[in-house]
Amino acid sequence: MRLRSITLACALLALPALAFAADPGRLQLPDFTALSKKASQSVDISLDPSLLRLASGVISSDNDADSAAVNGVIQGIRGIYVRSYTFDKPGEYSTEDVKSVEAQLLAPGWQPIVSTHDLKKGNKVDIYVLRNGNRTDGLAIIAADPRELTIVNIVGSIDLAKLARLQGQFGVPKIGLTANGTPQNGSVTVQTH
Amino acid sequence: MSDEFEKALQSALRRQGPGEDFSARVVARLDGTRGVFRSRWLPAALAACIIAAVGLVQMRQHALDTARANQARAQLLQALSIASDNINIVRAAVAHAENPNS
Repeated sequence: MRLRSITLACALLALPALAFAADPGRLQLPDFTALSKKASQSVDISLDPSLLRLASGVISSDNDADSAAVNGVIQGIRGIYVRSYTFDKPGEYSTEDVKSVEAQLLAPGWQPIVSTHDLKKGNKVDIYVLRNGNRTDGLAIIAADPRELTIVNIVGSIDLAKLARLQGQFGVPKIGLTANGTPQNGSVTVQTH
Repeated sequence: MSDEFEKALQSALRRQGPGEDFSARVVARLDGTRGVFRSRWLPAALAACIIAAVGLVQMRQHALDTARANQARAQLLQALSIASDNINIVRAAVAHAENPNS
């Protein structure tokens, strides 16, 4: 009887780990509580499948072009996790803060597809995808500049072109774009001096 | 005639005790009334209270669900905006690197 209880307790404790294992595209984001205390603005979003369904239901009821575009993007997504911190002055976070995330992106399957580094401004954006054959199981974005750190993890299948087209909707201003799309194969590194 | 009438009147108005079982009869009557109240009104009042409570709980749950759904919607749009912004920053940088004159 006691052995059964211990086994049951162990199984219950292992459930979160199993959940992570079931979703290879999900990163274990570290606890950024210390950063959020220093930040002038912070965004902490964790949308699991049930919350995504809830949000999708509300968006579907809007019945407009924007909501159709959003629903088109989130089809196949099983989770969205965002941590974003904006600081009043530079140097409030260290590279150590993102090392544990970058270490997970070295795991098999994860591929850096594009990264831009502006050495003058100290900005960098790295985009990784987790590929499983022709399927994308996850996306990770690490964007860092001296006053801002953003980590985005999207679990599931995502169309980057569709996601990019969402900019300018929901009141977000568009930036001047000249590119038609992100590179489909291989990785691209852009460095600006 | 007058005497007879007076006697009849005195007889009719003579002091008379309530009887030994008066209190018992009053109490029994009261108990009967309470029983009627209990049997008819109490279940109805209880049912009304339960229906009202269930309704209130459901209303509150619905309000909470709606608030949760709206919050999830706002978070989803914010998350997609942040992701979209960063992808477009990279796209712009790639495009600029490919064609610096653009």
